[in-house]
Amino acid sequence: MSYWVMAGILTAAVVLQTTILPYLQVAGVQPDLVLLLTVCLGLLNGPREGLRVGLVGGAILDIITGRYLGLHTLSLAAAGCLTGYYGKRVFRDNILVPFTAALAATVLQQTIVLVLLKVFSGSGGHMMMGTAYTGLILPLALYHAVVSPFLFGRLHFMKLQGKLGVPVHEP
Amino acid sequence: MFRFPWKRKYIASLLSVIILTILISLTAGERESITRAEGIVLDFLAPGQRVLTQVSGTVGGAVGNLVRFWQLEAENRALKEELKEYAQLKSQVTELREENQRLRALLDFVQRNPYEFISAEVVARSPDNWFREVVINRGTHHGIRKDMVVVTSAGLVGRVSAVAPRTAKVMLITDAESGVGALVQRSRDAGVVFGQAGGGGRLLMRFFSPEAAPLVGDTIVSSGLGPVYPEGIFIGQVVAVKGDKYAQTNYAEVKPAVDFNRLEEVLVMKKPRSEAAASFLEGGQRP
Repeated sequence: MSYWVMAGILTAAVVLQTTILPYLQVAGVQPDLVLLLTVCLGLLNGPREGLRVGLVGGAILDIITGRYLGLHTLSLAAAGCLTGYYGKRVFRDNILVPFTAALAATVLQQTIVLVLLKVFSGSGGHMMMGTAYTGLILPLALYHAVVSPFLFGRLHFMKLQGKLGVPVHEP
Repeated sequence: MFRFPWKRKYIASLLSVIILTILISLTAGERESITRAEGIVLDFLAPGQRVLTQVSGTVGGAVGNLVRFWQLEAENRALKEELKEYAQLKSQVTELREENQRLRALLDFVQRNPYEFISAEVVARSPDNWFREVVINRGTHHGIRKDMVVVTSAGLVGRVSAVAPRTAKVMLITDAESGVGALVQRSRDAGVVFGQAGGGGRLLMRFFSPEAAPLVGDTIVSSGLGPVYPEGIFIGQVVAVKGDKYAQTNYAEVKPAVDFNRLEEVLVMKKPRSEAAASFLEGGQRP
């Protein structure tokens, strides 16, 4: 997938994320479509693709958010890359693979965000770790885990039809 | 030699007319009974007539039904189309009614407050769960400046955190980095209201005084202590009081007055309408 196509898809995802997805809140959390795309494309096309999607998607999110530039880029790139390595070592047609990948990647990415906010935020002092995990990170991870097999299945189908372009060479 | 056959025709015709006329005159008016010949003809024809009448009635009814069916089908289609239009219209009316109610509440709020307001619509929300922000469709071109306070008729929304020419970002009071000087309206206990990540939209109020004893149901308003938020804006109500074992003080969980998931129109507070209003506010009165 070229960077332009990727940027287009991720920009559309961010637009959805800022307009429609806030209305799809479950247990007080809204799904993160960019993270889901990073996880699914990383699983499908390997760590390099996961890294690229994470970098581009994270950069767009950082620009949109306008706070802590690099926060999303760093955390999403890490999540995409690690998901890619995971995808290379498992049988990807198993429905549990996207489920577990989304669960683990969300916990990882959100933990990175939490730690960075705790370190760099002026309000780190009153950001409670326990509340952040029980009220945000774990519900979001479960939400993503449930949704990811559907998105992964769709992307897998598109890949088989050649609609996702040629993935970059794997190391 | 008899070569006038037409004469016989005329004579026969004339005779027929005469006979028929006599017959008519004899049978004119209501008769007691019909003749035998008439009876035979009537009885002979009746079964056939009955069958034909039934068949034609059935066929006529079927054709009539078919025509009515086509008419009803066309009418049904037209009514369904009309119903669709009505459903759409009803939805539009409901939407307009709700918008009208919201705008009326905002207008009422504007008229009751000594501030100048800029009305704005929420056009986008925060893309992730850590930052609670919305984007509004007003910017520097419309007089919006950083740190202006944003409210609705229900209460405090947040403050402008970044401004572009035609849009601005509003940091909601539920954002983990937001802090609002607040007090309990009943007891005047002062503290700071924070947003909390993962708090399900609930706010956290920490008190300056260890003796503060908020109660569930207490109303929390902005205290005016601080450079941004003026005094007296409704923030929310206490829904739980908990102890902080480290700081040995109570803290309160506050349910915001504003439903942030349904935020559509907001008001940006510009400045007090007049100097009198400004001094009125400085006098410690609720706006």
